[in-house]
Parts: sequence; structure tokens; C-alpha cells
Amino acid sequence: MLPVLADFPKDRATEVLATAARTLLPNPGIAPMAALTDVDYEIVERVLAEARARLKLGKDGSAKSISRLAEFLAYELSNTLIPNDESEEIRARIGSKGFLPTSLYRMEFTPKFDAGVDFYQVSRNHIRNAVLHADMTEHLMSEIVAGDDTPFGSLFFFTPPIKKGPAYSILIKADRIGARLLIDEAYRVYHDEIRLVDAGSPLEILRRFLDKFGLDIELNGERSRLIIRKVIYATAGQVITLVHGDGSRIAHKCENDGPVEVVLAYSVSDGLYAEQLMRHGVEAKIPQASRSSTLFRAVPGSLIRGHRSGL
Amino acid sequence: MGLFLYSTQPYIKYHINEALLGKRHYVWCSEVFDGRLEARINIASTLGKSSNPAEIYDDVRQYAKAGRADRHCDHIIRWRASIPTVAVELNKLGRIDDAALKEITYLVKTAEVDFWRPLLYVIDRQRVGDGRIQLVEPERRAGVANEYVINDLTLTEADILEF
Repeated sequence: MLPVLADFPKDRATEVLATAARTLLPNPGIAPMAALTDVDYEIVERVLAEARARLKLGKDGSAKSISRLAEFLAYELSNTLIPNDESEEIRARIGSKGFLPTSLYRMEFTPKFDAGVDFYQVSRNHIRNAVLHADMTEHLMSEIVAGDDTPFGSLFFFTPPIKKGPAYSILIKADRIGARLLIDEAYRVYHDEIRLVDAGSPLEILRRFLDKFGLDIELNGERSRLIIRKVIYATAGQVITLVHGDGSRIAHKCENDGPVEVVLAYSVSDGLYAEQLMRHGVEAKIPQASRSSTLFRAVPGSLIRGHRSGL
Repeated sequence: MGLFLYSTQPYIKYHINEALLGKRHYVWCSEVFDGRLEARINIASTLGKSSNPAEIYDDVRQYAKAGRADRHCDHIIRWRASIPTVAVELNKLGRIDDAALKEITYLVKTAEVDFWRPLLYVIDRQRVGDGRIQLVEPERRAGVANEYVINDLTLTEADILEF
């Protein structure tokens, strides 16, 4: 922190730093720059003078000096806005929303994945690479928004370079909790089995994959192949039942009146997927654990609302 | 007057606007893509280097391709300073809350080199409409060609290119 701002409250210090930075940036003379008009320009001048002194720039007004000054003020501004002890919390919040660069997520593998690794026939290294360099990434959001630890879903799609053998891509499904990606399923999608042309998103590819290798699931008696962001308005004590294709049942008892959301639910047929692998000369071991996926969110919340102007 | 306006923006700005600012994009743009070439035909197309979408694209692409955060690029430095600055202003105006201000700043602070790669916005002038296209005053431009600002561009009004 620059000495001139040491005794300033944090929000005032950020306003002074932003105003100082603004003096160095191209300005079209159009709002919203008028926002910080109540900042004392004498303090802004002192901030700029202290910054120049610290960088040993003297009165040099060259483009290079202005750049160094802007870089310094950006650094001070971000450090003032984000103290070190808040970084993890902010990262987790952005991570939950699915807005974190993929490389900033921590990748972990779930016990379900570990139990099925010989079934999926996609190694952990391949998955790490596929997630980091995905051709398409889709962080699924939920209709219900609340600050709990219920995971969101994320899908990744990657086509690895293949020198020999039939071409395939990898479809990965992870649970997203804060800045953690919990990888729990990964499937080979052979190009001669699933039509990928004009599939514009990983979710669309999952839909096509399930059309061929999925099983019907049943939610409160209604059958479908894939459930995505289905909101049910439930009353306290009501039980919502989801029956997966393998017959396993998940019952969710609602504690309160309000919306319950099935964020993502589907079942993959072990047999059909293993047959696809065998048709391409790959042997899969079918594990005991089910390949069904369900993500529930059952908290009262509100919808995300937008803002009206950009950066 | 051309049919399109052109602007080069870093991917991170696109990402933040789409993710955290209601899919509205602030763009500083010009009527020509490459003032160096078009000025040979029409002197009124002369753009300063710092406002020329083609030159900005080239410079930023060189930075992103090098993959080294320590490489110098004036445009990136300016964006690193301007994004949190505008976020502070939007927060002061009540358009974003404190959480969003911190999230935007965190993304800028931690973004890897690839997040700064350039995108070219090709803006359909007619779709935006004259009422939302603000002319930058001549003394604030880097050249003689017209420059404009749009505060609230949406992706239905522009194609985003990466090449």
C-alpha cells in the first residue's frame, strides 16, 4: 500500500487508485467515467507522484513510463481489492459459477471413477489433458442459486490426435464444487458411432451419446433419457423419486416447501458402452458400481440477474 | 460510412462481460479494420497504432503466442489497469455488487497468458443503431478516422472472430 493511502478506508483507497489509473488510460470522454467525481484530485496527484518515485520514473512522460505506472497502479488496485486471505473464497465462488479458467480448478478423481477406470478405457493422464485442452467446455448452471456445497455439473469434450485406429473423442463429466472439479465419468465417443457434425455443445454430444448408449430414467413416474435443470415445486415432506435405468432408486425427501431441482440425471448402459468399445478392438471391464448420474439441488434461491453495460 | 465497425478485445474481457456483466460488451471501435492499408486509398481512414484493430490484434496475438507472461505488451498492460478500474466505477454506480467487483479483479489478476488472446469484433452497425454508437471526440482519437464507443453491445449484433 502506498503511504499516502495507508490511513484510507479500503473502498476510498480503491476509488483513488482507480481514478489515478484512469488518468493514464485512453478516455473517450463518455460515461461511466463520471462515477468517481467525488475523489479528491490532490490525493490522486500524490498517489501518482509516490508511484513515480517508487518506480524511479522522475517526470518521464514517455509511453513506456506511462505503461509502467499503469501496471503498478493495477497491481496496487487488485491487492487492495483482494487481500490474500480472501483469494481462495473468491476463487471458489467464481469456480462454482463455472467462470474460472480451467487451469485454476483443482482436478480430482472420485471413487466412482476409480472403480470404473478399466470400464471407461480413458486414463487419468488423458483426462487431465482433455480437460485442460478441451475443444468444448460446458459448465452447467442450475436454476436454483444458493451458497451451499451442492455440486454443479461440468462437461468437457476433447478429440485427441490418433495416429492409428478409429477416431474417437472423449466426453468427460465432472461435479464442480467451488474451485474443484471432481471427475467421475469419461467416455470414448467413436466418430463412426455418434454423429458429431453440427453438435454445438458437450451437452448436445451427451444427449446423442445417451440416445445410443443410455437407458431411460424415471422421475416421479415420467420417463426420459436425460434430465437437465428440471425444477419441481415441492411441499415439505414430499418425496421425489428418481429411478435409474439399472433399477437403482434415489429418493429425495423435501425438508421445506419450495423448488427442488434435478440439475442433471441420466443412466449409461454398461453393456451398450462395452459393446461399442469391443467393436473398436478395446476390451472393457464392467465394474460393480452403477454408471448413473444424479445431481439434486434443493434449496430455496433466486435466479441470476443480468447487468446492463460491459467493461 | 461502412456497414461494419471493428474492435479488438482480449478474450478475458469477452469472458467477464458474458459471465459477470449480463452479456453486455463495452467496445471502442473504428470504421476500418486496418488503417495502414485503407489510408492508402482514403486518407480519412488513417488510424493511430493504438486504435487500429489490425495492429492491436497482431501485437496481442504475438504476446499470447509467446505464452510468456513477462513479455511486454502495452495493450495488455492497459487492459490489466482498465478492467478493474471500470469495475470500480461500475461498482460505485451501483451496477455491480462488491462480490462481482472482486471476482472481476481476481480473474484479471490470475488470468494466464492465453486468456489475453485477441478477438476481433465485427459489429453490424445497422443492428446496433445510431442511438447507441457514440462518436469519440476528435482530440481524443489516435488518428483522423472516426472512432466510436458502444457501451452495451450484445453478441447478436457482432461476429467474434479469432484467427
